[in-house]
Amino acid sequence: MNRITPRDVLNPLIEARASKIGDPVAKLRFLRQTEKRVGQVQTVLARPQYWWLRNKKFWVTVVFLLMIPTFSLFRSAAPPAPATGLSATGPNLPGKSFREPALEKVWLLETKSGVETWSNGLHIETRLTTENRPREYYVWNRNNPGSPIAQLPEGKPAGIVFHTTESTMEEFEEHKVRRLKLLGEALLQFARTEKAYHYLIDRFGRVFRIVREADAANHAGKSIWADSKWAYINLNDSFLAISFESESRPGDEMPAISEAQINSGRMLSRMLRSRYNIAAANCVTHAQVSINSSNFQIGYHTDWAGNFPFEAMGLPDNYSLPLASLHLFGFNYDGTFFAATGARMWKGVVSSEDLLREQARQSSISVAQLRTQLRNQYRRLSALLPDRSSPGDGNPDFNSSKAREVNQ
Amino acid sequence: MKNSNHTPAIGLDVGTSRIVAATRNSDDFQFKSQLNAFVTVPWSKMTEASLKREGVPYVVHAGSGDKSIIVPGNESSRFADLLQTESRRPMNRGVLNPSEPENAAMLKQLIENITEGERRSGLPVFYSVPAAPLGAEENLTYHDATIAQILRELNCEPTPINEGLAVVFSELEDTNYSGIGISFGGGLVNVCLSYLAVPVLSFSVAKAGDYIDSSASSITGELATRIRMAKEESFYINGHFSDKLHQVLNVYYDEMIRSVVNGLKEAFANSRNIPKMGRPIPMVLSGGSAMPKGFRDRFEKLLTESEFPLPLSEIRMAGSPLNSTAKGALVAALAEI
Repeated sequence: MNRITPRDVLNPLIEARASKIGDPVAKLRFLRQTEKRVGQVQTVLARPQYWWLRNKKFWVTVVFLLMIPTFSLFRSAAPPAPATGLSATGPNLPGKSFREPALEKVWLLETKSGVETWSNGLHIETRLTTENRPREYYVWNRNNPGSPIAQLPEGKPAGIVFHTTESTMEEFEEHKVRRLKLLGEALLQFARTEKAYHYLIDRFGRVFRIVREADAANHAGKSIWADSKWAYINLNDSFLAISFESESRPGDEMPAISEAQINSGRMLSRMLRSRYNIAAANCVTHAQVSINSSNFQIGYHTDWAGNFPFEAMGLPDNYSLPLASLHLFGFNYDGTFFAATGARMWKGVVSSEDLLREQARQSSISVAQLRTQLRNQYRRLSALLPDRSSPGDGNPDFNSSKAREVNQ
Repeated sequence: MKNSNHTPAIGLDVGTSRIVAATRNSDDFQFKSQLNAFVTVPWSKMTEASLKREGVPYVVHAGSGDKSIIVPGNESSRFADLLQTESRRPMNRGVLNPSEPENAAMLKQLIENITEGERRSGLPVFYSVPAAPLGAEENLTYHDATIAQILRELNCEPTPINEGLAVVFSELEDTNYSGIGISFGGGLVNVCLSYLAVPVLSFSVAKAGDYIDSSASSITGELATRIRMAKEESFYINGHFSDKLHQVLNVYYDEMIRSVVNGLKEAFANSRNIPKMGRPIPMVLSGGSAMPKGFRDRFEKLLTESEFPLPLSEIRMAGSPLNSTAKGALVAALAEI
């Protein structure tokens, strides 16, 4: 019997991505690293408990799903982001065509019947708003590696993480409105119980405040991000969460959100950025920040792994930004992450790896040695953080459990 | 302070007839080449003085017996011709020459000369090694370990790379390093099928440039050294022979190409692990023995006649056949940094 292997699935994707790399050395480096990772996936899949992954039907489906983005990759002419040099001032913003507009002030117009109306046309329903523990977070000065962690005096949110709810999706048709409303309401109740996000935008584009902005929400679990000065570890407290009632699609496919959700997402992001003076570079997706600290792999959650509409949200393509988990703390990724993410996301991964190599070169050590040092740094800093176990931290099936609950 | 003009690595083609070093300063590749051969002449004051006068690099060797003068590298060919003697070769059929007592010492001397000015402590050096001959499990460990030891003694960090794969890394960037690279060297013809930079199948064929030289030498009575010079300077494969030597060379070139074509056909037909390529792949020819005009056309004709099992998109010559192995080794080294 002809058995389809992970290599059969991944090779067209690998080839499509390699074709976009112009520099021969960078291309070879990409292919060789990918080969190692695909090898790791094959080793894992050879274990007896993964027999179902060696099933032909399963892989036929996966091949079909993955070939669609591969074709779209061939059509895309966008070159990969150029390698950025290691800079003491942190990651560079993509300067391509996006010019960040000056943040216009957005103010609260009125609150009437449980609905806030904001000056940019944003409406927020507040009937479900709940409390959680007050926001309290620590940061690390990335430009001063020996420094301890510190609390910022103002304690305001430093960024926004965009999520998908991974909940049950019904066809978006008029005659299914009762079912759509039922699913939406169940999801809102669940998110409230779990204190899962600060904001949830349902399929009709309605914005619901779930957790008070002054409090932490259990949205990001183990996660890392950094701006030009500060590195943030575990973003439940430091970043606000906006979740779209939607489900993840492979990173190269069109996102499964409506125009109404995009409009609301843009207005909500603007309002929050205006209110807390949040830098555009700190508005990122869950896939960009999520980590697994037990095996030092990134991409524990992969929602918005390549198809978040940054531009439509009035933001630059932040997928180009290097991932702090990779270049500041020595995390790595495997073939599974590779398969789940889209080409845009890989710009940031490639930039991070360039930074890592440059840093290793400057320190005259190998990349492996540097990774070990950076991981020790992460362990050191993590040990200093207060222990705040939450559903988002400890439950590996957090997203799935949300979906299951809503299904019932 | 670090000098940014230093090459970050060296790619070394340790071939039977030539050693080529590739370096990269700023964005350009640079190559240095030396014949992997030497000539020994008895020492005399007059000989040493004339070598000095001519600016010929040499080494005075004072072993257990009489003193002698060793002329290594490029000048050895001219001296061998001048002295009507065969040059001595540190390598034979792709590996260290077992009948040459000075093999490792001379190889070290040549590598030292060719990397002069670029070497520094801990410098990564990727050096080419041949694949096992087709149908044989030849032990290449000693050859590989000796070169690694030489490079370590020169304070470098050695890493071996398959010669055919190095050709792929040098020439097949356009197809994401998928295709067949063939290096027609002096001692061996090295073949590698690569898919997305992963070597899938590699082997070597023992009939190569030296086979042609020695076979033609035995027929014509000329020294093999002189035949090699004639072959490189004026020979072309077109079926028309201007003299006896060219006729003989044509015969043995055909013989070499047929051996490689048969080897290719056999290896690819019998291999079980060839991936589905999805589209025809390119084949690139490199190495000094592929240099004569008409070689590519002759190779293509014989390969087409053999009903080669893999669909090929093209058969082409490497951009710089003498340097492609070294360049590919350097590209591999740079990718690992």
